[in-house]
Amino acid sequence: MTRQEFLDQVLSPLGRLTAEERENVRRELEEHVEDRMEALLEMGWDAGLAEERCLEAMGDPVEIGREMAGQYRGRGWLWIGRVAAALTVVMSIQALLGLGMLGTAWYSLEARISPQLDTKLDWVEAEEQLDLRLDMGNDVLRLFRVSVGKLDGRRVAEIAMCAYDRWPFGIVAHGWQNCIELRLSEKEARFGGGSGRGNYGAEYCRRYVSLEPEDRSITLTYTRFGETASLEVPIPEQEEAP
Amino acid sequence: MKKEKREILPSRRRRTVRRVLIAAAAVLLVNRIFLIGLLFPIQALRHIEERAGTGRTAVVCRDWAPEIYKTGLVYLTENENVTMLSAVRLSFYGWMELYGVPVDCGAEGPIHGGWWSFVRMEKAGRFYVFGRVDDPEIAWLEVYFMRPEDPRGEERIGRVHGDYGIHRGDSGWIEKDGRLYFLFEANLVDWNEYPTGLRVVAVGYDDDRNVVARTDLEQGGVTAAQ
Repeated sequence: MTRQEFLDQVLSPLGRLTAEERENVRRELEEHVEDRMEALLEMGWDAGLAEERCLEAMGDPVEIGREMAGQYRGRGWLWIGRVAAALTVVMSIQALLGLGMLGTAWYSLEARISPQLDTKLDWVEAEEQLDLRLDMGNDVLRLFRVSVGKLDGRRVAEIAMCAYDRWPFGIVAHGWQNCIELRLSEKEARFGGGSGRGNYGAEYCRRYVSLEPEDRSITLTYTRFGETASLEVPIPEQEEAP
Repeated sequence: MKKEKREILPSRRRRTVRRVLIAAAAVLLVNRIFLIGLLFPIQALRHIEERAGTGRTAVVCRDWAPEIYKTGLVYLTENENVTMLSAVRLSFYGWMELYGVPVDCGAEGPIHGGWWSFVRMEKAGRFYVFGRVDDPEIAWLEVYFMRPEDPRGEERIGRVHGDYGIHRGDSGWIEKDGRLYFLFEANLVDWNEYPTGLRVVAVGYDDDRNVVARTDLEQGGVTAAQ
């Protein structure tokens, strides 16, 4: 029996193999025969005789083929594998097209490590960096700076804050800025307003409160969808305005 | 020796399992990192919840909305403190969020509600009014709208599309976990008819047609797409 005849007999019960699977089986068997032959050739055997002995040593080709067929049963597995491969290709394309979304993750990381928002005050009298954090549903509200100064001729405190999702690649909620109330001691804040920026990764906001000289802290309260939380923001030491 | 070869060759099942694991990892990566490639509409709804900050909501009802997009789906969802109308659609990037109008039901009140108008330029759109009724006396609900420029104020929305009043037990009333929800919807015949600044009012009546509650549905919005 030649090697070709041997391989054909092994592969004959494997009729339902895909071309790729058939090729894999053929290559594996051939490599196996080659390995065995190499050892015999090194011992000085004749090539034809060595091949014959190797094929004999491997056993009945029909039996080998029947046993191997057991590993390739189930057309369903084949289709599941094809669908999974197609899905991987589609997802890879989407990942390439969605690379821009990594920018939002960067925004989110920046908000939790080193938030950036410039002041809009015309003149800054005093400023203090803060790190006050408040749970807000799935998100975190971070107050990172409070400044005292002049805005449109008024003496105000500017509170800079940002919100980000707990998961760095998550989506931050929108509209929380409208659910924040600022109070000075027992009085309601006399001047609202604010501005900011944001995207899916993080949202920034500035809020303003008119100040009296005796004011020492601002209470921030968040109320939304049945959830209420608050914290105290200290007002930095004020110096005399020029 | 044969046994050794069989171990080296991957079986069909083993190869499939490997491919499925790779695909699952790719899906997870794209879903969680790039926020696209969503395989199910409910995942897009979860994105809307995240953006609206409502927390997890449960589906009250779901409706196919081909007037908006051929693959559009509109969800009415709720939890103890929120009622939300959301829309998602299937695109090349998988299921994607379109819009969500959350209504805060945390404060006490007889009727909590909102509205949403979605128009495709030069095409007809869809108009929704939705919410939750917390007053057990309300047996009949009607929805009106006011145009900002209308000096008289009120005009029944039913002028455009049939009857905008519903009774308990009608299909527009939906009960879930002991809470009552309503959902009106209509095709917009003329999409110019609903300007921004629309004022929507819900009026609740008892069985004898006495007014029990009247609420401005302030949460709302207009979405316009090409």
